[in-house]
Amino acid sequence: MKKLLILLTLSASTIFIGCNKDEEPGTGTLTLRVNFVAQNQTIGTNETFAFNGNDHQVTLLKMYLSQLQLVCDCGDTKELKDVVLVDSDADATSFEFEVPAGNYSQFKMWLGLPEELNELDPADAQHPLSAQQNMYWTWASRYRFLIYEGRVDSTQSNNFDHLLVYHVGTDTLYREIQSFPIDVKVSDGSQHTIDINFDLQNVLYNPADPIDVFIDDATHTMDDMDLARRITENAVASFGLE
Amino acid sequence: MSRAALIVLLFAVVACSRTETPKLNRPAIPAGWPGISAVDDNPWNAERAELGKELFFEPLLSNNRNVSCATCHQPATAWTVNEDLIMGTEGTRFFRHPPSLLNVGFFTSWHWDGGTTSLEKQVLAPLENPDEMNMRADSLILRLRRDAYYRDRFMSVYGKEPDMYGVTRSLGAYQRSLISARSKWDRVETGNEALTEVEARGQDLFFSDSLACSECHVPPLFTDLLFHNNGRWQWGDFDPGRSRVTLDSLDRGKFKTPTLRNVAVTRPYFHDGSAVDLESVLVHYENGGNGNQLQDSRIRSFQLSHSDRSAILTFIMTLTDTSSMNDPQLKP
Repeated sequence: MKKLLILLTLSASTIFIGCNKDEEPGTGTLTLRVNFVAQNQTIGTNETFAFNGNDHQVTLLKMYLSQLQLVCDCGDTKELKDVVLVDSDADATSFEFEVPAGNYSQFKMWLGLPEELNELDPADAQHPLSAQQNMYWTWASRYRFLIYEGRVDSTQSNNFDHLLVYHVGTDTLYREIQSFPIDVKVSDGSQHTIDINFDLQNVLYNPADPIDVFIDDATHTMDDMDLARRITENAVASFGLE
Repeated sequence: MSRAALIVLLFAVVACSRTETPKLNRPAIPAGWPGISAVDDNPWNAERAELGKELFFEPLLSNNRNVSCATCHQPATAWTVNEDLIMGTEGTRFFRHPPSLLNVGFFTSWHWDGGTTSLEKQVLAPLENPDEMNMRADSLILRLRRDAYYRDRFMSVYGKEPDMYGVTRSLGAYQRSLISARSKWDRVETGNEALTEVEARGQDLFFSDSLACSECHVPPLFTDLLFHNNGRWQWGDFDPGRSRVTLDSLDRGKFKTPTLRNVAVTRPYFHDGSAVDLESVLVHYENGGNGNQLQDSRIRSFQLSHSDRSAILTFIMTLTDTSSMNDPQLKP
């Protein structure tokens, strides 16, 4: 808890100290929307996308995005939030932040949790790190960073009999996602939206490292670290601006 | 008051109460023992421990309401159970034998692979494991909040409705009350009793360099709390042991040294419950383990005469502390 407080204090000081020159008074509202897509089309969980002659459905997608930051024109960083949980089950894909007025040119975030958050006690942690989110690996005293569960129908006959279960975590798989160029001018009372796409197909079939889902169909990280790393890298490469 | 109203009132009073049991006393830590490992926000507290005792024996904590913590950790068998792999709420079996919970408060990590780092965090593992209690945290909290008795109990102890903080702190406090330090060996150590000739012979063998039992089974807990590949695990086993936590391939097949306290009643033995009795355990070590490539170098074959073997087993019996198993304050 103490570490979390230190982290929050540091975050708060970044917000208050950063960009104090040229800063306009007041705050605006910024909404981050994470959109699930496949083949450039918006897609929901349990909806079908076809690839390589197989039908796919993602049945559950949950992931922690952390250190969400804006970089202003002056180069300073403002932390929006230490962590949010994208949760298809709870329909939690949109997050609202109050942002000090200013001109922002970059948006940054990480996939997973930094060590300070990863070692928290979920029974004592607040949302979204509480035990009720079912993201905690109880046998490892650590959180899962990404849960990607789905199923595949190799016959394209609505027979989704091949299950996919990818649960990735551990400190070594904490990854910075690319920095997104934005042009957001926040003034007092203004409202803005950043739409980030998350490509469900690319997680499996990133051209740089496609996964054979009929062989590598499951990892709980510790039992198949190599596959967990591949899923993580593919997931990191699956984010993009709309 | 009408007769019907009286009956309803009586029913309500009975329904909202539980059987009164002896109150838990602050556990006494024997001299020379390590300190109890407690998280900062959960020093031992009688109210929390009392609630923890109730939760420990409460089948409401399992998905199908048919399994409690005590199903696999029964007081009569030193808070374990005499089955190899215990069946969980869904009828499936977990892949490890439940360890004894006596003296678990002195540990520095929990589970056979040391995967959990506090007793409070450990509580979550069997609760949520599909092969054990299969209870999601959000479902458990909802269930406890709907239960008038537990709602009142949590309000009384924590000043708020049931939540995972209260569940984990209570169960942690109760488990820290499970101290076993009243065995014959303890009485001998404090000069209040003496070993018999055979027990003394067994003790000499146990602490001898040639057998090296005490290198891992270190008194007073009779465990070094470390992880060793004792030659039980073999390549191809489903359970990777400590490496599941460390991701270090050299840790494959390592498991935490179990305590030998009360080992007379905690059969079967080893992480997988694969040895049915203590004689089988001794034979395993006499044979020098299975010789897997990662086996601890201290596991070497040795020969024991029939009488030496009996002496060691007789000595190990002196580590049994039935007073803790029969202590009414620790039971519902």
